[in-house]
Amino acid sequence: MAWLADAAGGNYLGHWVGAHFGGRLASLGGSKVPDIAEYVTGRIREALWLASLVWLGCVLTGSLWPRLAKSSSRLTPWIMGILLFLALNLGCLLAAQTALFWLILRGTSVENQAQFHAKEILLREVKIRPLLALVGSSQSQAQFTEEIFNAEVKGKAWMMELHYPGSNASDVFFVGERFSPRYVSGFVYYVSFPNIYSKHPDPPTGRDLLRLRDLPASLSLGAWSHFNPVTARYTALGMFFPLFQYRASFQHALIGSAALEPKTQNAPMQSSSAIADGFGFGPEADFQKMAFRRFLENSAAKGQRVIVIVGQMNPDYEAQVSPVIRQDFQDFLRECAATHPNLTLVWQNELLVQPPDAYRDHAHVTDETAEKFTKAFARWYLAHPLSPVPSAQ
Amino acid sequence: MVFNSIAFLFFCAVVFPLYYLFPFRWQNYLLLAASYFFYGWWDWRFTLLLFSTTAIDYWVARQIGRSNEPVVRKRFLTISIVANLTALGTFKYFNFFSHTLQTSLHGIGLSADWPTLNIILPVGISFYTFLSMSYTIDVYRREIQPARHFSDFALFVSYFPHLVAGPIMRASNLLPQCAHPRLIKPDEVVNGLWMLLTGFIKKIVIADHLAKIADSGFGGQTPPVADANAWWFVLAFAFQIYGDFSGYSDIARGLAKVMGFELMENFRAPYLVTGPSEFWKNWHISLSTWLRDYLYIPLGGNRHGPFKTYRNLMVTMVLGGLWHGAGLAYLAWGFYHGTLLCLQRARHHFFGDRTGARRVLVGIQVAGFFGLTCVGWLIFRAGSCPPGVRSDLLMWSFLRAMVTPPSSLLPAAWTVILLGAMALAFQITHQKMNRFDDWSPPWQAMGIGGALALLCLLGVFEGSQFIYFQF
Repeated sequence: MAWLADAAGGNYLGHWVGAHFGGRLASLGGSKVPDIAEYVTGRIREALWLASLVWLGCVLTGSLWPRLAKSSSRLTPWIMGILLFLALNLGCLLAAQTALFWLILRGTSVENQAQFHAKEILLREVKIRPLLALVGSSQSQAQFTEEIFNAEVKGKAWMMELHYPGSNASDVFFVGERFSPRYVSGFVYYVSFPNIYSKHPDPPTGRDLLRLRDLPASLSLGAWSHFNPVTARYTALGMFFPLFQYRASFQHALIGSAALEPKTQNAPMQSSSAIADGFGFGPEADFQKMAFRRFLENSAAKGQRVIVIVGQMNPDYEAQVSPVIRQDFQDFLRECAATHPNLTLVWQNELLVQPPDAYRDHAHVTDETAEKFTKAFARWYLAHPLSPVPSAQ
Repeated sequence: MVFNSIAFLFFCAVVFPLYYLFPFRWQNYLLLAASYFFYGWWDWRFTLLLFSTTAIDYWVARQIGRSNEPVVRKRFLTISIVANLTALGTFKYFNFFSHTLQTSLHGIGLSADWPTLNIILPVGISFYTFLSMSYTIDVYRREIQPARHFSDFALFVSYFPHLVAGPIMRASNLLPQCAHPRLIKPDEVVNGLWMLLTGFIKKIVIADHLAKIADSGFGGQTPPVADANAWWFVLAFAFQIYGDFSGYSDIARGLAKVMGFELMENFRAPYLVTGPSEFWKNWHISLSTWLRDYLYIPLGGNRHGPFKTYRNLMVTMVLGGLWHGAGLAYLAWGFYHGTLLCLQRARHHFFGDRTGARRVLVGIQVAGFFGLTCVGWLIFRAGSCPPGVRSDLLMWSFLRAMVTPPSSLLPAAWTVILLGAMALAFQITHQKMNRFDDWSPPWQAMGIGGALALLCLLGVFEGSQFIYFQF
């Protein structure tokens, strides 16, 4: 019935609601949607989908209840209980295909996993091309303000933040795997040396985002041997049980655990020795370099461009790190640009010089700097719009 | 090895199939070896202490059992008590008393510097020394016969579900279960598996989330807030310690049931009681009954007039407080509960048992006594504050803040309310939770599916320790 009603008047209703309540509703999506009516229609459909799932669950439970009540076996309730648990996982997986599910879980504050999934789904509704996905760590997000970029380029492109806090190059590889060229034309990645040379990376996307279908890619990359044992176990469990993988979002929504966590984006500056000890060459750096190259190769194979901004940390922080590492970082990116035609390097200083006072901590710039940087990047982009990837022509 | 770890999962995956395959005697050998492995996982040297305690008490009990001479029996009992208390005193209390004495002497102008012992506290030492000691006392009282096989007695002491955090079982109850073939009843296996699920929910959903709030509240010299919002941190700890300890007890009882053992109930509804004596009939029941049977009653109980009754109550509770940890805060906590018990007894003495009035005001009384329990937990938690923080100052800062009107609601309040309500729901339904086999099959299925989903969704999977391990 619900679906019939939607087919009959869903589009009309969506446009009407969008016209009257669009502003308030769009705030659910972070005021970052290009078409309010499309957005509202999409959410109405998703609400119907979620309601259908709940209805289906109730019908199944109602039909099984009397049969189960007659059961005399001690084993049957355990089997049914486990089946119920698996059904809840399946239901959760299906519900997670909607942005509404994630927007409800995210609420009014930011939760990384819910935020990422909601935007991942919402980007499919964006009709403007080329569509650029902003990937990388929280530093990427801090450098850019997507609304400013989208306003500056005036419909000639659309940028969507799909960063994941704590991301290294291997995380960007996994994020890149999620987006088909049908939606994402290219990636914008603000990369700085910690993304590659961190000695103890803790890959958050593995733990929070890896799906069963990512298993072959993660195995071929050799990622599992670089996860710490706890991450590896939780990643594997999360692949099979969505309820487990989505627990951070649920905990945020139900018991507000995020409110207790320290703010990571204003981390105090560490001591010089701690900074210097945190980065270096070795198997981890080699793995991150390999993951970065694979990200470029896979993007090229899909016909997606990659714009890498060769970024920096707070200069006071960077001064504590060996110049050999910074030099190797730049040489590595130059070598990648020479061998991967879909990669365009943009050097930080071409866009904006960022002195120490442009930062609010060791890595993240102030809002004022972000605005200047975004405008500078928008100007650069208008001068260098995306062209098709040579190998994909 | 903690129950909420992957290592324990592998441990169970090996032990349980073998247990079901083996005949009775081999089951005991297997459990004995597994229990020592379980305990040695922390530090293999701990097993030497465990073995020594076991060997001494086994030998002592045999000697007591062989003799009819009161003097000889008493001499052997003294050996057991001295040996157990020496181990406990050395490993748990030596540094505390040494430091206290030095500080006291320093206070009166005397210099006394002697080295403190650089030893680590063996996990659960208070639990198994009390357990083992009660065995020799029971043999001395002729309440039980000495164990015939050393392996049975060693298993009684070291049986891994109760080894490090109880319940503190009585030999009269557990020893026969070790000495005779167990009958594994399907209904009890079902109840045991359900207890495992609920125990893990109490631990990793309720306690571990609330631990983050409580730790943030008790992490500095003053509470993070200077108004009545400080209550939320105390409440968080009150529900954390309930979830942590009763969760452990549920897991222990569940594991035992799956193997055909029956461990005593350790928690009922401690936050839904109207007074301190009811509290101790619902909280850590195995310890409170141990203290009653082996300390309070031998001291004279309530048989020698009001003054000696108050004295006995106070001595029992102060020593009970000290059992929890070597620190003045634990002593103060014991003293606080002793005072509450004395006041309750005095009220009964002077005003009689006002059962009729209690029925009318039971809600207010429950809430009021829960508030008093929380003040007790404040004293208790302040005792394990981080190094460099003075627990007395922290406690007074909290008490001052708790009576100051709040300006706004702490964001963490919702978490405490939700998880606290969950903890109270477990207490209200504790009888139903114990008899899962009585549930109708559809509700059983809903319970199992829901519990698994809840663990996945709201669990904290960081392998945290249980609070009572340190005792």
